[in-house]
Amino acid sequence: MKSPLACLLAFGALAATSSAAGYTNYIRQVMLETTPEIHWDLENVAAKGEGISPAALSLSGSRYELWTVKNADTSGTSAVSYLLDTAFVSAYSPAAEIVIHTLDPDGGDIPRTRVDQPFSVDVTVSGLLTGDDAPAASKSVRLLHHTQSYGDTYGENVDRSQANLFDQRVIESNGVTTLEYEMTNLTGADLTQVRGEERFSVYTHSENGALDEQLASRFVKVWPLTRVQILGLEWGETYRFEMPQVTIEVDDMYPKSYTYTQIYKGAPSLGTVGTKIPQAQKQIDQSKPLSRTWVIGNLGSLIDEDGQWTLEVVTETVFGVERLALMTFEVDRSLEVRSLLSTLE
Amino acid sequence: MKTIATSFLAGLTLMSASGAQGMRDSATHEELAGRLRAQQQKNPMRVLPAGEGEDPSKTNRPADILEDSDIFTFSGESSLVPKGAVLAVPAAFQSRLGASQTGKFIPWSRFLAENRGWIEVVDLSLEQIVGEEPLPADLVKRMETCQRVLVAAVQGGPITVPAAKIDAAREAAKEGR
Repeated sequence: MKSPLACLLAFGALAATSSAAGYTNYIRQVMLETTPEIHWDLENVAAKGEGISPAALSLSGSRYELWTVKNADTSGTSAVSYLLDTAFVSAYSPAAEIVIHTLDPDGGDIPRTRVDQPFSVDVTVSGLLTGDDAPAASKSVRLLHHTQSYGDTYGENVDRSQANLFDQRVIESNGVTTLEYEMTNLTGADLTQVRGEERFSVYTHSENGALDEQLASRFVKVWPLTRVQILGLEWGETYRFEMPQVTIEVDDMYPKSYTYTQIYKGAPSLGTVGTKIPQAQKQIDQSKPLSRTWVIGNLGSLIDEDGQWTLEVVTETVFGVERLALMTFEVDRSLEVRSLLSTLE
Repeated sequence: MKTIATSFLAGLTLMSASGAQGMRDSATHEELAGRLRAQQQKNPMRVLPAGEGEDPSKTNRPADILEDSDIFTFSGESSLVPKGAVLAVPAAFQSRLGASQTGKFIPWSRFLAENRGWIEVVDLSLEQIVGEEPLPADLVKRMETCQRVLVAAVQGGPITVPAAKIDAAREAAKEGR
């Protein structure tokens, strides 16, 4: 370690960005050449950015760990730590970078997509050696693909050690490998409702029983399709005089979306522009899906003539405009008078 | 590569144009199941040789930083340093180190700045930690007589000091070197 090497360390996505938000970040360098290992904390970890690692790089290398510590809550539970990212660097280790592309540009540090939408992954590897003299461990790296379902949650406390190893491959040459997926690889009984994440990682391909170290890792959040139930109306039913109260249950609006309910005269026709119902619409721009229940108590005020009417729930996202649910019904408010005419003599 | 990626993504955006304003019906489970089957048959990663071996994300998972650190807690705030960085703790301050994690965690530099009255940093070099250079000759005496908690640091960052280095320093101190 006679000539220290500077190492630019790019920080990955952070769970939170400041102690004021209940989280504090720490970067720890673990020098792997010593027994026991020497741990060295990088000072002044910014919320996001790059820092010069002050440590030299040895042949055995160092693992850099980015942790965030969530404060204990007021009920007295202990603080909790989350490992956000790791990177392994040595004088001779290859380097890797992973970039995930989705159609949603607003995910911030963590790319996000929807179950039915495509995404691609660029895996860039450099520093692999060739030739008979090169150590076996320097000639290839491991590419791992993990999937992990969030279950019924939005992944707030996901334990990534429980992720499923979906696939693993070997990369034996420098350059970029692009993986293109037309939709998520998460599975479930109802694919429209799966939610979770897919993680792509590059590890060293060590030999002689040495542990493989992570060179790069990125994950993409996958959100479900929006689910809608329209309650209070029956398909094809005829309503006279007073319309019933209608309840619309909307589950998992996409994090950035505009979802609305519209009504129009006539049979269902995809793409019709109807009258939006003010109390049954919501625009959101946040980090996770949102569910809402709308109650329409005055639907009759929007119906100005008899005949067939259609009510639809529509959502607009970066992925396009989609009809989520529809209901059609008849309205007949005409008064039929049946009488027997007679005269008085 | 980003150009290729965005072209792929743009080409696959569903544009069935079933409605006057480009509206389409939301996908069903059956539609997605068919697409997923097709995707599984042409797995993009199949162009690479198959890998084998244990999952390193499980077999080589870093130890929890909270379990692998000495945690300071004082006046409602907590911070941490690697195990082995604390060189000496006077009895009066023993209660401020330990398992308590109920304080509000703050960066070490801020915790140090607020508690210099009872924490003292021993500035060392990397050569003294991992190289051949010995620890300072007066370190053992400082550890025995300090009135404040001593924490080892290199370039401001708390660092583990190997026990062997401490032992060597004690030996040197005995021999009067």
